[in-house]
Amino acid sequence: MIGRLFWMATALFAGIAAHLATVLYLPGYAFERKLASYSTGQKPNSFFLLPPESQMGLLPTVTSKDIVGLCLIDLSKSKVTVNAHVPQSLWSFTVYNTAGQQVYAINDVEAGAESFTVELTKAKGIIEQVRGKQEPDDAGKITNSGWHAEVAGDKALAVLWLPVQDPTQRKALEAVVKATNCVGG
Amino acid sequence: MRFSFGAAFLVAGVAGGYITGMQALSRAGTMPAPDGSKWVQEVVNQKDPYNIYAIGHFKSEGQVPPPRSAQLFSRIVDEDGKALRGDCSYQLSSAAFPARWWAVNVIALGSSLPAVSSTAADVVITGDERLDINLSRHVATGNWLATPDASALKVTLTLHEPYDKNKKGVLNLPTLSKVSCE
Repeated sequence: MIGRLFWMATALFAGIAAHLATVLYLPGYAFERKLASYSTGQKPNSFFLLPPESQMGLLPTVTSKDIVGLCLIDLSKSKVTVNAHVPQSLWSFTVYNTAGQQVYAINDVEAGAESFTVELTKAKGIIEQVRGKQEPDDAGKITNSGWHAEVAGDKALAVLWLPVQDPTQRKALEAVVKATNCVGG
Repeated sequence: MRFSFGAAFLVAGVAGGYITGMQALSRAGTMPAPDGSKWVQEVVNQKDPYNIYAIGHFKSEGQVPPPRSAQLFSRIVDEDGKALRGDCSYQLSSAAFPARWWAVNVIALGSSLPAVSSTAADVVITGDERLDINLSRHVATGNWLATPDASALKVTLTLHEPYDKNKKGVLNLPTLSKVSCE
């Protein structure tokens, strides 16, 4: 009887562990695999446009007619500055952390310009905040008039989306957006 | 014998944990549409302490969650509650969408066929601000979206930067009615 109870308790804990592993690990693994397949040959902190046929696979709210640019942000060594170039039309720029949470967003109305800059820095951990250690703070070094966001973790994904209202203008719009860059340091 | 009993319990526990995890991920991130229609809204509530399930719902499909500036709705059934089929024609009818931009996608379920889309730039809205789109794999008059040749379909509607709902009233999502089947 005790032996059965032991195994039942063990099975319960194994089930909880399997449940948590499924929920916490598998989605991230699936996402990383797909992102890696779409960004083959792309370096971290570089901006590139997704092929139209791949866009819907990564972003459920876009179509293959839209233009989508990505930047795989790597904050492990330094802050990253995104210098975005956009046309005078509807667009949105969104930053997701590794957990998939949206940490920053801006659109054409809020930016009100054809180019803008966003500096991304790694958020301080709780221990660093409690210790109040006087480490170099990237946020304090902002010298431009752009925006700033802190990201928990070393990596993030920046997504620039804009719809194409006139298909004949697609090449011209892509040329504008391609001037966007992500720069570390 | 005792070893077999324990191993069976362990395997059952792991399998149960995996299955409940997959079920939780598939159900999370969706909620009934606010107008009570057959659309479901796919959303991540950032204030929800359990939104790791909703985020996992999208990430498990290799996707990022919808941005907060967009509303994503989807459906796999018509107005009669029957599954959407590739060999049937449907009419999507609505008042003009209260958003800066919108897109309707038709996705072939269980198939690698590419999705097809119709956006705000593709359609003609009638003088009374009505919007009708014919979803069919055969050429149709008016606004026509050629559907994939697949057995099961999923239709999504994305509203980018929807206008203030308080000014416009409750959001009424489009109807999707079957016209005919082959």
